[in-house]
Amino acid sequence: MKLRLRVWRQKRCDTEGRFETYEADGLTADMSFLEMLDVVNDRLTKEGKEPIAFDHDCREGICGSCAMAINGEPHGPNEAATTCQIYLRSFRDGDTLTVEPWRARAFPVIKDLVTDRTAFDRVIQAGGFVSVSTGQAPDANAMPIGKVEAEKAFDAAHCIGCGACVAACRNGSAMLFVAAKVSHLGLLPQGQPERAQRVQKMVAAMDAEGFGNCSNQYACEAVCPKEISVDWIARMNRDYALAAAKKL
Amino acid sequence: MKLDARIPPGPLAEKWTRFKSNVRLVSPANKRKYEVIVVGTGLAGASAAASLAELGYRVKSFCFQDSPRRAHSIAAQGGINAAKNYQNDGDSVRRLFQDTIKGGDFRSREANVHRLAEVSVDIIDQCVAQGVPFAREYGGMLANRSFGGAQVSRTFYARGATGQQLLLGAYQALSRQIELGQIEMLPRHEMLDLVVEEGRAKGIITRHLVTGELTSHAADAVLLCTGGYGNAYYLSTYARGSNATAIWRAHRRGALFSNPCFTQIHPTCIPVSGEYQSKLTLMSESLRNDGRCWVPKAKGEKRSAAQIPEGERDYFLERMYPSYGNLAPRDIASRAAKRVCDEGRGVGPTGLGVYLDFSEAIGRLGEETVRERYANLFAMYHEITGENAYESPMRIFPAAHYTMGGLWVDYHLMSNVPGLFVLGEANFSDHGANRLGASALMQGLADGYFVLPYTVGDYLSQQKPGGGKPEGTAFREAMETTQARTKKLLGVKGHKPVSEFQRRLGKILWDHCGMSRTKQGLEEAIKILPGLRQEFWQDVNVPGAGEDLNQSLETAGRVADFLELGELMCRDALEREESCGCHFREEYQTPDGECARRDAEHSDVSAWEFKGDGKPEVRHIEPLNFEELQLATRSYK
Amino acid sequence: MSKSSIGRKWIVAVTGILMIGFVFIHMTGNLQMFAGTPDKINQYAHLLKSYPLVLWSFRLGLLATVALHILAALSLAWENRIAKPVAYAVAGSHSRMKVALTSVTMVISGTIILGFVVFHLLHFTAHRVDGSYASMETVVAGVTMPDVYRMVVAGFSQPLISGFYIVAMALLFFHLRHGAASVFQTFGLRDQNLVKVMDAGSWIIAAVLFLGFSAIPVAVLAGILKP
Repeated sequence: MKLRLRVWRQKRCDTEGRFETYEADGLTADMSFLEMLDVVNDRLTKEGKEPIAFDHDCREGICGSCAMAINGEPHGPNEAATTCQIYLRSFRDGDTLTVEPWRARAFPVIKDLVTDRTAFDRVIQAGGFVSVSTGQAPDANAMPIGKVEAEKAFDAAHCIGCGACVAACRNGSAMLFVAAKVSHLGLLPQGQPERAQRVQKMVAAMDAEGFGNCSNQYACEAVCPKEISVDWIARMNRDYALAAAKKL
Repeated sequence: MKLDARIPPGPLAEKWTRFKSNVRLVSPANKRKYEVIVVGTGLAGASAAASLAELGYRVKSFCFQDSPRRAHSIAAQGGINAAKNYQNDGDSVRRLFQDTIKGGDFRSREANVHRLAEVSVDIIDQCVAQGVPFAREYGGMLANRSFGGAQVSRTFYARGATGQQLLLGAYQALSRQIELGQIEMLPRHEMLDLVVEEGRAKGIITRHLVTGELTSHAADAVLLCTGGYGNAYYLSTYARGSNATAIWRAHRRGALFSNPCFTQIHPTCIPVSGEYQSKLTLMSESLRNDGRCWVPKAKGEKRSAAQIPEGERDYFLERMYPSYGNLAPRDIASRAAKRVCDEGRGVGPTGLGVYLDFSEAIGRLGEETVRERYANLFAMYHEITGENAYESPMRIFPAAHYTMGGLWVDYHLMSNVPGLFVLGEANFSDHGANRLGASALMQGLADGYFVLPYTVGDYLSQQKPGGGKPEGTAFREAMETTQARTKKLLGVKGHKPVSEFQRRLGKILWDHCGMSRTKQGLEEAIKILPGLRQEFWQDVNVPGAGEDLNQSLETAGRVADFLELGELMCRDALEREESCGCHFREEYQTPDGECARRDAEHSDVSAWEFKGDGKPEVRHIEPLNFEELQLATRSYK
Repeated sequence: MSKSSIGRKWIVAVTGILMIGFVFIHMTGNLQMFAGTPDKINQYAHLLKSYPLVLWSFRLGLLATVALHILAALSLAWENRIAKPVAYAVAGSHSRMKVALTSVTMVISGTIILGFVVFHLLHFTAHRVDGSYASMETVVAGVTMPDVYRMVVAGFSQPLISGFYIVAMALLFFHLRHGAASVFQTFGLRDQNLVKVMDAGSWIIAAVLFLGFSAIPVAVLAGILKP
C-alpha cells in the first residue's frame, strides 16, 4: 500500500514552518500510523535528511504523548483512538494525508509535530489534587463510595492529557480537560473539602494560559481518545457558579 | 568487594518497625537545606519526589517526557497487590511475603520483601485518599481480583488502567508540591551522567531535549527511578522512550548492577505481525482470570479456532498446572506457551501464538459482565488486530515486559555508591528471578511513598548540606565526558539509522538471552555483541545537530548503552549455571521441563562491577540467607 | 466572576434567558393582532405607555441586558480568535468536528439581529422610517390612542420590510437553536437524559418564536390581516 504524506516541518518555535511532501511506499494495512512515520524517518536518515520529530512513547494509547492532526482531525479519523492506535487499514491505498501539529496558542510548536503542552501541567498544579500528604490516610474502606459514583469518577479520571480537545476546538479551549479533572475529584468524597477552591483556581489557571472559551460545539468530545463526556463541562460550569456564590 | 545489605537485626516481622524507630532524623528546620535530585516521574519517582517535598526537602525532579504524567507506569493495566484481606480469603502480610518470595523463585532478599508486604496496605489507603477511583462493590467497599501466582484475591484495580490512575494520583501529589515551590520540575530533560564526588553521589548531568543544553545539577542525594531495561530486546511492552541510560551511566560510575539476566517475558501480549513492528502490546494478566489458554492438540492444524472441536484442544496450562491453571505465574506460563509453539502447535500466521479463549466465561457470566471487566482490553485488541475477541479467541504470545535485575541496593535502597538511591524497577531488590503480576505498582509506590522518606533522611542526617560543587573537578570531568560523547555520536555520520542497530541487538538478545538460554547461545551472543557495538560507532548515522530537539540523537545514546548492557545480560546469564524463575537454562531442567535451581551454588545475587571500557566486568556475590522460609522447589502443579 | 471565562459565559447565558423571556412576552403581545379587532392591541400598547416610569425602567433594564450580552459574548469571541491563531490546512470532516452552521455563526447572526432591533425601534417606536405613523390615531372606548394596528399593517404591506423582518426572525431562530441549548450547558443542566430535553427544548423555543413573530408579516402580506 502507498500513501502520500504532507507533513508540517518547522525547525524551531521561532522559525516559519511549511509542508513537505513524502511518498510512503511498501506499507501494509496492519502497520500503525506511527510505524509508517518510523519507516519514513529511517528513509530520510539514509538520505541524509533530518527525520520528522513527533512525540510518542507508550504506543498503546495511554501515555498521551502522541499528538498530531491527520487531515484536520486530531489523532486521525478513528473514534476513541490516539494517533498511535491508528492503523493503516483506516486509509485507502493512494490517499493523501496532511499531518499537522496541534494548533492552539496555548500549545506552541517546538519542532515539526512536537508542541509544548506544559500548560496542562500548570493547570493541574493550580489545584488538580487532593491535599493529602503521605502517611495521613485513613483505612481505604473507611469511607464507602458507591460503585456508580466510583465508575463515574473513573470515566472522568481516564483523561490522558493528550490535548486533542484543545486541538479540535475552534477556540483552542481546554474546558474538557479541566472539567474532567474537576469532576473526577469533585465526584469523590475525598475531593469535597477543596471542591470550591479547586474549580476556581483551575479555571483561573486555564484562563491565564491563553486557552479559548467554550462555545458548546463539542468537537472536543468527538475526538477524545478516552471519550470524555462534555457533561463534565456542564458540571464544571455549575460547580464554578456554586463556588462563586459560596464566596459571596 | 564485601556487599553489606545493612539488614536490620531482629525477627523478620519486626525489622522494618525497629528500623523506623531507630532511624536517624533530620530536624524540620534543617530539611530545607538539603537538595535531593529525583530522576524519573513514574510511580517510584513521582511518589518519592512528592513525599520528600512534603517532608520539607528541596527536590529537583526530572523526566524525559514532556510531562511527568506520561512515565510508563501509566501503561500498567491489571492492578496492584496489597495484603488487606478485605475478601476474608486468608490473605495476610505473611502470605503476600511468601507468595512474592516463592514467585521470585527464592532469589530475593527476605527482609526487603517482607517490608514490601507490610507497607502494601498503606499504599492502598494513601491512593484512595488521593482520589484514585479503584473498582468498588455495590456496597461501596473496594473490589479485588486475583492475579497469577496467588491463591487469594488481593489485587486492587481501576478497570484496565490501574497504572494510569495510580500514576495520576502520584502526579497530582507531585503537582501540589510544584505549586508550593518545594519541587522544581524539569520535563524534557534526560540524565546523561552521574557525578560522584569523593566517593558520594553529588549530582547529575542532564541534556535539555529541546535546546540541547547540557547542565550540571548538584544535590545532597540522587534518586534514580528510571525504570527497567527491557527495551534492550527492542520489541517489548515498554514505552519507546524507556531506557537504561541513567542506571547504565551510574553503573559506569561505580554502582553495581545486579542480576541483569533476570528479565521477565510476559505471556499475554499481542503477537508480532510484521518486520516494521515497533512495539508489542500487553493484554493484561487479569484476562487469565476468565480466559483459557489453548492450542490444537494436533501439529500443523489449519482449521480456524471455531472449527476445532473441544476434544481436539489442549488447554495446556490447566493440563500442566492443575492447581493454578491459567493463573500460573508469568515465567511458567510464558515457557509453556513457547514449548507448545516449539512443538509446532502454535496458532496464527507465524505459528508463534496461542489462543486465549473467553467463550467459556461468556457462557458462564454473560457477555455483559465480561465486557464490564475487560472492555478496554478487548477494544485495544480489536484496534490492533482487527479481530473481535468476543466472537473468536484472542491470539497471544510472550513478550519482554519487565526487568527484575537492576542496580544493586541495600535495605535502605541505597546503591554501593553512597548517596545514590535506586527505586522501583530500576533496582533489583524485591522480585528475585520472577515478578508476580500486580507487584510492580506495589513496589514502585512502596519505595517512593514509604521507604525512601525514612532512608534518605537517615543518610542525609550524616551529611553536611550543600555538598555538591558544580565548579569542582568531578562535575567538570562528567560534563566533558558527556559533551565528548554527544559530539562523537553526531560525528560518526555513517550509513545506518539507529533503529537498525536497535533491531539487531534486540534479535540477538531475544534469541540467545530470552525465554530460554543455553551456554552455547550465550557464548555466541557475547562473541557477536562487541562487533555490533564497534559497527555502531563506525557506521551509525545520527542526523541533525546537538543544539536542537533531536530524537535520533536521544535514541542513539540510549541504544549505545543498551549495546553495552546487552552483553552484561548475556554474561550474567552465562555465569548463572542454574534455572530459576525467568532465567531458564536448558542445561538445568527437571525431567518434565521445569526450572532446576541449584541452591548450593547460586542462592545469591550477582552484582557486576564496571572496570573500564574494554575490560571485563567483575562479578561480585551477595549470598541470600533464608531464615524464615525453607528453600523449596517451586510448584504450581 | 466577570473576568473569568466561565463567569462571562454565565453572563451571556443569564442575559440570554432574560432576552428570551422578553421576546416571548413581546410575541404574546404582538399576537393580539389576531384578536379579530384592532382595539385589543391598541389598548395593550396604550396600557404599556401609560406608566412611563415602569416603561422606562424596563427599557433601561433591557438595554443593559442587551449591552451585557453583547459585551460578554464579544469579549469571549475575541479571545477565541486569539486562542486559535492558525487553522488546520485541511479541514476535518464537518460532521465529526461538529461544525454546525448555527454554532459557528453566532456573532454574525447576533450582529444582524442587533441591526434589525435598531431598525425595528426606528420603525415602530421612533417612527423614523415612515413619519406618517406618528399621526395614526384611533379612539377606543372614548380614549384617543396611537393606532398600532394600522401602523403594523401599513408597515408589513411593504414586501421589502416584511421580508427583512422574516429574515431577521429566521436568524433569531438560528441564534437560539445554539444559544438556548448553550444556556442549559452553561447552567450545568446536562447529562445523558437531559441532553435530549435540552436539544428539543432549544428547538421548540426557537421555532415557536420564529413562527409567532413571522405570522404577522406573513398574514399581512397574505391579506389575512386587513387594514
